[in-house]
Amino acid sequence: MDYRNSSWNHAYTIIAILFLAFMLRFINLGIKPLSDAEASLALQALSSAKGVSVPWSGEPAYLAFTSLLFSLFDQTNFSVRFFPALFGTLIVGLSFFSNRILTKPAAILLAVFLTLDPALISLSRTAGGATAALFFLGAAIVFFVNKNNKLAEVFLGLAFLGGVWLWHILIPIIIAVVLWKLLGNKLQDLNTPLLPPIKSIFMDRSVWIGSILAAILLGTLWLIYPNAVSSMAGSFTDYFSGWKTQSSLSFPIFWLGVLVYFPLGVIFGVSGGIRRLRAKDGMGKFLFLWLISGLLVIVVHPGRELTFLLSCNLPLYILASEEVSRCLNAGEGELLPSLGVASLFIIIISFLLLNVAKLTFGGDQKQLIIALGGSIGILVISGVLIFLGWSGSIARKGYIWGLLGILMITTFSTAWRTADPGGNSSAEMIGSSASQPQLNLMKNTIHEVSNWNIGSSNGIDISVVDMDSKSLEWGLRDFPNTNFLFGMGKGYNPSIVISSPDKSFEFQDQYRGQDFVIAKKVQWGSFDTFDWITWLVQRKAYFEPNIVVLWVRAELFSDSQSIPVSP
Amino acid sequence: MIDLLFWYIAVSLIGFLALPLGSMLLPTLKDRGYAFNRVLGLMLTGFLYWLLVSYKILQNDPGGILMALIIFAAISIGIGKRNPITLLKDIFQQQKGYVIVIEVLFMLLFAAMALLRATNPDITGTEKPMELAFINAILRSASFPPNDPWLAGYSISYYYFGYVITAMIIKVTATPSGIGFNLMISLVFSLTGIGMYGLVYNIIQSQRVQDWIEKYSSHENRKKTASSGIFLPLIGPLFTLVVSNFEGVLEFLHARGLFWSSGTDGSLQSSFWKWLDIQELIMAPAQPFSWWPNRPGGIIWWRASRVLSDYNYSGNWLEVIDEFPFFSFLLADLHPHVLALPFVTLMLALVLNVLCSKSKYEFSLRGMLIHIPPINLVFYTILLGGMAFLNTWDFPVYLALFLSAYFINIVGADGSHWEAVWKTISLGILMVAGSVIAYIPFYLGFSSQAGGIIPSVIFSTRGVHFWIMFGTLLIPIFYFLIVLFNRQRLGKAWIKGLWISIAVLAVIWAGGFLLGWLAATAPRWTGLIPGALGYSLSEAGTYFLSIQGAMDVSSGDLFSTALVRRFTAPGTWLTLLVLGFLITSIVLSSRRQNLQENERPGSWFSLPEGILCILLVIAAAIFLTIIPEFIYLRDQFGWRMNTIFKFYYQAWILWSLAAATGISLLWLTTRHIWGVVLKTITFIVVVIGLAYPVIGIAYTTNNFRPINKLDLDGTSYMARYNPDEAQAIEWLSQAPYGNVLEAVGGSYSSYARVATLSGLPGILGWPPHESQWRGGAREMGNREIDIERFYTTADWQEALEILDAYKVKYIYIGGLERTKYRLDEDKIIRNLTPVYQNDSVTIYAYNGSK
Repeated sequence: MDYRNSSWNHAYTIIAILFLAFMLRFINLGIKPLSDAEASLALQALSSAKGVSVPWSGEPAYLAFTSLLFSLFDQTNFSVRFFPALFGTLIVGLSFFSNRILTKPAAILLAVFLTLDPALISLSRTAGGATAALFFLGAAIVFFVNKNNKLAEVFLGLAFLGGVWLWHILIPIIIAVVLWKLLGNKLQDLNTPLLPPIKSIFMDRSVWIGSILAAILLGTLWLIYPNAVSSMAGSFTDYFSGWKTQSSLSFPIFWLGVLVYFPLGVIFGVSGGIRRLRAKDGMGKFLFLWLISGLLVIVVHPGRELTFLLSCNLPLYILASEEVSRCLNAGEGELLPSLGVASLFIIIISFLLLNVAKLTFGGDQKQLIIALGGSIGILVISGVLIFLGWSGSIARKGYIWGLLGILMITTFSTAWRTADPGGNSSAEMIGSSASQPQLNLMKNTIHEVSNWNIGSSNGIDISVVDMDSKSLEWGLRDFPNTNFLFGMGKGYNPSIVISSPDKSFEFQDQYRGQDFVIAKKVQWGSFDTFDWITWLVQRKAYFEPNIVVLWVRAELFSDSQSIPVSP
Repeated sequence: MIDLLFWYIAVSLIGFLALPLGSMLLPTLKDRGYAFNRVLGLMLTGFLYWLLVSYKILQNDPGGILMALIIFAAISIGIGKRNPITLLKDIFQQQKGYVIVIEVLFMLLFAAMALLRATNPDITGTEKPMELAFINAILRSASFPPNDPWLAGYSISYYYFGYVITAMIIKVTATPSGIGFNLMISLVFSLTGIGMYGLVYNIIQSQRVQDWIEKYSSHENRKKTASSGIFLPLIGPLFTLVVSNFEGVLEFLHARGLFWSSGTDGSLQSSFWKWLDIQELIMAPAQPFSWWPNRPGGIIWWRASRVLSDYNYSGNWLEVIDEFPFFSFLLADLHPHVLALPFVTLMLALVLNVLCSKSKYEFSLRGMLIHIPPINLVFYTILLGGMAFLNTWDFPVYLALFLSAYFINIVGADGSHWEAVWKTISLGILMVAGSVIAYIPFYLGFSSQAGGIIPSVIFSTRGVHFWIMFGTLLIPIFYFLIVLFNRQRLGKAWIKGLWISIAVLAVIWAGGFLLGWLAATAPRWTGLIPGALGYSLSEAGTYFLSIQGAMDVSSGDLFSTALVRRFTAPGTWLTLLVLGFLITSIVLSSRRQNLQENERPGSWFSLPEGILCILLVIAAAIFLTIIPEFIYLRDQFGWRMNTIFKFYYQAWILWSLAAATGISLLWLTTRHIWGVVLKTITFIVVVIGLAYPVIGIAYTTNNFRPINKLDLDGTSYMARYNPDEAQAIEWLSQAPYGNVLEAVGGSYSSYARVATLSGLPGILGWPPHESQWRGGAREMGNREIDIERFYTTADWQEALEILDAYKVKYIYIGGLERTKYRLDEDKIIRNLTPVYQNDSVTIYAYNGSK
């Protein structure tokens, strides 16, 4: 395939990839209620939009842009996640400007990989500054490479506003540079058009001044939100506070997650990195060091999550895209045979996976294990036969293509499940660890009670007692008479009380209660082998629910109200 | 231990970033401000942090602090125009030994004081709870000015910059405030130590002082100069921080029973101790006599800070505080005068720098010629202005010193007196205005407790007390001045010096007594002045007489008694007069010498600026000690307790610098018998001055056998002695922000513990202290009564009104609430649900009357 001679095809490809990226990030973006972390950011943005000064956490870009959006449009879950999704889509677009670093096919593959990257999809559909940080930093580099220094300065300034994720991304790069130096390399060894801009960034004081001015002016939206200034530096301390948190993913489970969610990147990125290391390619060596540094930081981070892989997905996918691009080159007359071998590989693997899937539904376990062994055997034997009897090159290529095909299918499937546009909330290791399946149901109940009693769907008085839940606070923002109380006076009897179940004894005399699951969480540490196989195939797991009780004062129910009798 | 390390790293990093700016602001110092970089960095980062949070540009969180540090670093590197790494390399290459001594000294002093605090870390007693309350309130306030921890609804009305800097380090290093409190004491100790070391070093190493040393030293001494150049200045921190007053030695003598003899009735009598008249030491020592102070009653190590006594006309004893640095560190109260110590060394560095400046730079500001570059002037103004915010008493002192140095510098350069006077006054006005503008958010929320000036007619310091207090410093100073006097070719300068000194003393004396006479006779003549002014003056006169204890006494009797007292105990003013005479004579002879022999062409004085600096600080301390002999500031107490305390404290710093530098200079220049005399005097003075630290450390550390394990957490006592309260307060410190209601009690008590430890605003803390901070009880209103009413009333409606009036969020019921009031908890139980409960503490939350 020669993309250079086919600009139309190239344009269509770009449009198609961007469209796919857009779909995966935007479809039903607001369908899921916000998690506590998202709601905390949304509430800060909402307060700022209303002109109330509240402390900002370390996500200045997100908070500034979202505050602006809130002051112009409705404050919905969609608008809360709008900017992350937008920047998450635009990152994919940046790949097409990397022609000074990558070949066109590699650039397109990079765009595809970024489009389907589960970490990027998940963070694009979550309120926060991750995608903004990556996009601004990437855009700054792209514009520096393309010698548009003014725009580059603006984007570099915006990158300072990237928040906590800026440090997630920068720290592995800094470690990689230090390692690079320690290993006796020089910047010149990179031998890339990136070199002059990198030098100019560090040496030119005006670049820094321009960037800082851009950061302050844009971050504060022309000084409307001065909190952004603190928030910028706060992101650094917030990043380190993150090291105090404890991840729900243990070390082995994390690695399992990496293999399940990023198989394509890991297999082709790592093999590409090793190949380029052996070839003593300066840029390849640096990318590999960057990747390794990123993985090391994630591994030692006690609060590690799979989304942290965003910090090293650029080197991972650049290496992978070049490697895949190299593998896709077929020699004269090799295309069709290789495709045939690849098809064989895909069929056998599909059979193998079907057997694995069947294991989880019960049936004759012994027979299934034999079938599994058999399919692996067939795969190996057929590979060896083709290698020896036909052509080593075709066998290798066919199997690699087949593997690539399978990985593309699974990656797409993973990407789709991560995006979860249908809101089915399968058990995923990536993305929001808690979802709130019944929050909307609870809100509907409140609307009904309110409507029935006071004739307005949101005017009823609600007291949330002893619960510090930002997602509830966000979810109930449409009810203006909502109070978040810390202990409730005994003589005080609001129409509706929301509390944790352990407070039941306080309300059961005067109220009628209904449980709602407002969050659920998978306990990965409690899985046995069978649970893991089931999860791998069906993405099913036991969710630990977080329940709240909605208490409605008994007299507000229709059956407790006396019907006036006419004389 | 890890917190100590974090503090060391954080403060050193700030200091490192301050290097370029320090070298720009202190260019004439040999070390280019290296010894002061940490202090400079802390002050300016603290200023930026406080200012930007006050203006709501930054948030009061670690991000805000980090941003302030980034801005400071950008300013330092941008304006200083140097890369701190290359600058550090340069300084290290040129003065390797000095840099190593500074760093080792800093670490040692920091660790040593931390160890001392770890033996007795509790933040209890004296005013420590108040200081911790300020720190916790600053930590929890969303923005500045911080909320008053003991008067909900108001912001702090106190000079709280030191607490902002403390909270800043605590927050950025994520240290618990109880540990941060003790680490701050250690940090202040170490920063003051390296500051004093740097001052002595820079004075000795300045070029002209080196020439002077060369002139007076022998070949052997010159060799000594080279070898002891970096170690001799260690005498600076020794004299400022460790050497103490003579009271320690008196304790030993007292315990040994010296000058005590049995009377006819068998009881011990002593005319010597009676004459000394130091409280507690008047009492007979415990028997059998011992060489170790062990007298019963009182706190043995406390007495050194109460050597002076005042008696009013009626003979009533009034307490006077005469603290000195070692006592402060032993006591470990994080009070503003202690917190300001490192910054005082920075101010003295600025004074030395201005004095030594050879720059011919001048710029005109609306016709005013100023000999300091504008950028430097901005920073000097911010730094000097910060002293008012740190410890308001220090601002006029160091502003006056700075302006005096500036004046001497101009006069030294061109000799034009009157022009120099006007230039100095212009600069003074500009700096005062600039200081107020820079710190305007502070002044807007600050109501000073100072209520004017009161003449000190009947109160004066007896010479013996003055010498017990300052003897360890005055002896080396006198020795230094006499040698200097001797080395000058005086001519008739000494006669002029004597007359000038007498005239100055006479003017001050006459001024003070004239004011006193006006005040004493005010009730008679103020009737001639109509309206409120007449009434106020009359009231002031009556107040004056009541404080003097002379309400029914004629003014003639009052003044004659005052004169008799001053002439029968003339030690203080005579000492100061002689000191003034020596300095004036030396300065005048220096001028004369230069005119006759042109020793230093282009300069007005023959003496090097370093020595002029020593003379200047001695003179400043003379004024600081002579002024309270005749006037003092009116405060809540009425008599001159606080004025003596604050003025003498600064005098101690200045004289300790002079004593240390004087000894160092003489050490390098005296020969033969004078050298032996110097060494003997220094040895005796240091040994006597160390007597008190020995007693103090032994008593406060229980002979280094701490009752509990070594611990830096000053709040851990609560968990030890009252675990229920500790848990409840810990819960509150994590709870959402809101006003807390707890029992009210007097100053220095364990009341206000909840607001103090949690950082939540209490409805009322220590009422007398609130009254002091605000100059009255107006803001407190009926809070004390209302709080009692709330706890005791059975009427829920009445209780509700109180809760609503003070916007109470948490009602705390613990041990003190139950013992202090006849508590009626039923009304609360009936109406509110506890949000926290353990065996002895219940906390209720209240969400408003709705």
